[in-house]
Amino acid sequence: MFNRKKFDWVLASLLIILIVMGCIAIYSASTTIIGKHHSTENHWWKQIIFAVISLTAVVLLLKLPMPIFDILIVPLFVVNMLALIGVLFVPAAGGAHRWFSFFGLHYQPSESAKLLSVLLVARVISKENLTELRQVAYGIALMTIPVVLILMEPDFGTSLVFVFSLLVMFIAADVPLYYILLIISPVLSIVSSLHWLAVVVWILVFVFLLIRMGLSWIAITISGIINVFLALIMPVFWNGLKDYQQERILTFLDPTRDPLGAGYQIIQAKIAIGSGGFAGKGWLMGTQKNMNFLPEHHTDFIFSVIGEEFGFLGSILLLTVFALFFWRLAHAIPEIKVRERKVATAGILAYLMIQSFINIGMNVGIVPVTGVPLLFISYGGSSLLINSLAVGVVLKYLNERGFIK
Amino acid sequence: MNSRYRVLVGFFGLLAIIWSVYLFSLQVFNPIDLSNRIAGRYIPQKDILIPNRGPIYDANGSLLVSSIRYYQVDIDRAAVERWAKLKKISLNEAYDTVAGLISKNSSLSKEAVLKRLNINDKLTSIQISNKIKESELDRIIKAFNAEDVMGLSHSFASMKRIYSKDIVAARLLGSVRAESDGFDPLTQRKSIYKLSGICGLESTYNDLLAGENGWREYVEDANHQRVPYPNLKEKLPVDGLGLKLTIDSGLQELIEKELRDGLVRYSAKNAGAVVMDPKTGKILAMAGVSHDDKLVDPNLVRVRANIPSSFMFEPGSTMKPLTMLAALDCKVVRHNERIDCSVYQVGRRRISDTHHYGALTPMGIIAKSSNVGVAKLAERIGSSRMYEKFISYGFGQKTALNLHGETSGIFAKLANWDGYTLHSISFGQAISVTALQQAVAFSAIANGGKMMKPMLVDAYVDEKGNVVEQFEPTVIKKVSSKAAADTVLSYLQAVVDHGTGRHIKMDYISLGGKTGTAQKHVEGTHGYSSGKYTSVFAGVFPVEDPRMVVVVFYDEPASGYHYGSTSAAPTFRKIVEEILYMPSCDAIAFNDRLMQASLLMPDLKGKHLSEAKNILSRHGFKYKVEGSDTLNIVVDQFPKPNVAVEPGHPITIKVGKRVSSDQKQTPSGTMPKLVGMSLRKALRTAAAHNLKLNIQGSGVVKSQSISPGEKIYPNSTCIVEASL
Repeated sequence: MFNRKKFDWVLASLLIILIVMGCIAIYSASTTIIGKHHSTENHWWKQIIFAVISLTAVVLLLKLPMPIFDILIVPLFVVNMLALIGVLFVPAAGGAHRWFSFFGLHYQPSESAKLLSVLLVARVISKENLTELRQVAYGIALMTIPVVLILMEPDFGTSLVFVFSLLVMFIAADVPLYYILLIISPVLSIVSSLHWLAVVVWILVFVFLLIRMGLSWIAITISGIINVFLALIMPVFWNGLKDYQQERILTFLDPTRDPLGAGYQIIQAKIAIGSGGFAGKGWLMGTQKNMNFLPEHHTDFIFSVIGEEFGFLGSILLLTVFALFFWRLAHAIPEIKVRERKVATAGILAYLMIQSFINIGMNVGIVPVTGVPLLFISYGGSSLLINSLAVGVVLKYLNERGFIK
Repeated sequence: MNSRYRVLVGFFGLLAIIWSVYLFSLQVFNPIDLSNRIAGRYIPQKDILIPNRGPIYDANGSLLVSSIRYYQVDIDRAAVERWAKLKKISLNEAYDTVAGLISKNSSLSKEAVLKRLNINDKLTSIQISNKIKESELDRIIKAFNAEDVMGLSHSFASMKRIYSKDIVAARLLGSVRAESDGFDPLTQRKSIYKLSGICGLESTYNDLLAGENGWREYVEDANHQRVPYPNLKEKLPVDGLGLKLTIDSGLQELIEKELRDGLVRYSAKNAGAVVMDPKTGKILAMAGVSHDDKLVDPNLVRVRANIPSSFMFEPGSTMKPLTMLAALDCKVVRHNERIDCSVYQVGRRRISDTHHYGALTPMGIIAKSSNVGVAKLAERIGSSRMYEKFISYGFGQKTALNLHGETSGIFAKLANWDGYTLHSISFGQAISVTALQQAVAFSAIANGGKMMKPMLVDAYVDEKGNVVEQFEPTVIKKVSSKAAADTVLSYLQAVVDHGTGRHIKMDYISLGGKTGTAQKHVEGTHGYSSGKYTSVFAGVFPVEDPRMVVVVFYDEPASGYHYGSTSAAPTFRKIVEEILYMPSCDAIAFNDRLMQASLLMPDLKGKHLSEAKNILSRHGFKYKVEGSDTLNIVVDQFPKPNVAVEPGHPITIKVGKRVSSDQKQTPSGTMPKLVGMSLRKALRTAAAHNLKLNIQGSGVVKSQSISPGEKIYPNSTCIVEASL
């Protein structure tokens, strides 16, 4: 069950390094130093406890017999979906229904939903004898359940993670690329409608790619017309919106338009990172953090604390560790021969990666989305546990290779 | 690796590169600009510290203007509530304590404070008052600290100028306005309170008085709570410097009083006076009043024009001594030369005098104020020399004082002179001057031809009263030879001794001066208005050693008082008398002053009550009148006549019916007509009537001061003017 030779020590070490870095950052984030005043909140040792629990859970997962693990996925997914429904009836915290709270602990069902959805979708779409269309249809149908429920919370960022990992799983499951292209084409058409030249270029590229992929002329014509129509109708639709509706959408896309509301945190995070400079202000010395300008700096905006206190050097070090970590995860995909597990590994890699990109992008002000924690670094028990378990799943797959073919 | 994975790797690789490049640009290449408004919130911000506006002192160091600061006191009700919980007392008790502490140490009543504390408002921090004085604030803070009460906060609210001498020199000192500047680069869009001078000295010396703002850094966290951040810097404000003026506020006050009295007496619109020390150029008083000053708020008077420096008038005959100075300095006339002063035709213009004087010496020209005489002298000087001389006297230019609202007067450029300008200017027409310019020019005469730089500010002083910069009297230029100036000075004395100003002659001090009467120019025309005059007197005393030059003028006095000799000259004399009574006066020797100071009691018996009152008040006596209201002849007095009394000693006068037997003076006859007689005959006639004659001039009597037919008393003096 636990094969020392097959165990990926590198991946496990990178996981532990990331968790340790997280604890250091959280210690700083929960400390306030102003002059002689010095106080530390208890987040950091809580996070250490969570880390111990998470690593223990990973070990337990590795010890768990594979058949039991396979059986558990479907019921856990169902329970998780019920939890996602249930969380909508919990009183809102911060304008969203995301958490269950008991005994001072917070549980976010959307965190576990990521891993379970990926595992379940991987299982469904990698079944033998499925047509490509069915693969796509089943995948989309299954993913729609958590995505819709999470959009209702509302939590746009997390929904995006689901969509993205689904697309990557399609690629891993040998779904023809034109399906992917067709799925993302409406979004690109809408984006291209900003400028007529972009519309022309996009439609030409789109049609060219479809032809090269050998799609039938009927399908090409229909999808082409739909996309041209979408691109043309967008300005009309846009102009038909009321001013405040336009404003709301613009603010969503560019939160800095509302510096005291939606954009406040993003602007403050950007200021914190930007003021860090090359070498940073030193551990615990971040002023933006100490003056409490950044709310939730121990969770979603932990990266800005690192950026402020350790500067570009620290940030790039963290990014390097992440890059190594993802490279090691990607390295695992060809090692795993079971199709379902391969697809699941790709999905796990995708969702972990896109989360970190979204979170860091949000901290530096490229991505206008909030509500996605930085994996292994942000404070939060459920997120740390589930992300560790996701890595644990990959470790388990690696560990199991050769046993079942 | 499968080719489809390359798409993924490419996508993620691209993202990773974009992210890293962006991070690099954000942190290293172009770090965020912290002076940016939003970004700047967490670098230390600056509180502006407002400096005190400098005070203004008079020459004797007594305070004229000072500043008072008011503070705003706020109580944070949430903090009081916390304190109440800490002390385990009810909120009302806590409020009661707070109100007690504030009301005990300030002028606020306890009820008012309680009312503010209980005000129904969402805000937890309540403004108690924004008129708390610095001393009160100190006491309140001490009281709060002693009782360990929380929730007090305070900030600078406003500043007010306090005028210690009320309205004295109001127009000269000017006024200030509280302003809030718009944007301030130090504090970022905070408006800054400041007082800025809008007129008068407050405006002229605004930069000096205003001082320099200081600042103190503070750091606010996201909840706008100030946090005790280490190493915060501060720069203390630099208080404005104080001005020590050359103005003597006592002198200023009495001159303003005299002018105000004069305005009423002569029904004039405006009046102004400048007193200047010719030897140093120090302006000792500069007063201007308008007839409606009493009707308006004192603060509105402060923003009115400073009349002596901003009101211009045609100086009229007061220009003649200056023309004479130019003539003597250019040596175009000899002291003993006689100049024909009969009617003089210049082109189509006739220059004439009120009387026909015949030939006059230069002294006579000034004493009699002959237009013809000076016009002829001006011709001898010539236009260009005349122009140069008058420019050197300072006409047509602002004085070195450069006061706010000062005018340069009107003095045509030489190129614009027409054929009559030279003559007009010689007797003060076609030129407009300010009283200040005239005083500076006359000071040059009194100072032997050396023109002193006029001074209003003696020194800059700091807040402790130490002199920061002392200004020394400086000679601007020499406008004439000493001999010429001294000669003109003697002519000025002649004016008072036996010329147009002889009615103001004083026994114990030698006065010099020149009267002037000018018709007012009608604005926008070449003509003069009938019936609107400016009456001027420019005087100097004592002539032997001039200490003060006084220029007095009335704008549009009532008909009859419109001559310089009838309104401005008497005011001048009063001013001189007042000055001589001033304890600080050193214009004449102490003994003389003592004699004047401890006056011999005048004999009032038999005089009309109003006359007696006049005499007494002129000497500054305090008196009370006994007897019936209906009676108005003085029958007795205490102290008795010729007893030396100190001014201020109470005097009692008794009124009653005129008792003819008790009359000291009975008319010894009626005044004979002397006009037309030769002097010798007039003297003989006067002797027959037991009359003394004061003869001026020679030849045939032209006028007599007591009209024929009036009752005369033994030993009366009649002034007769005679001319050939």
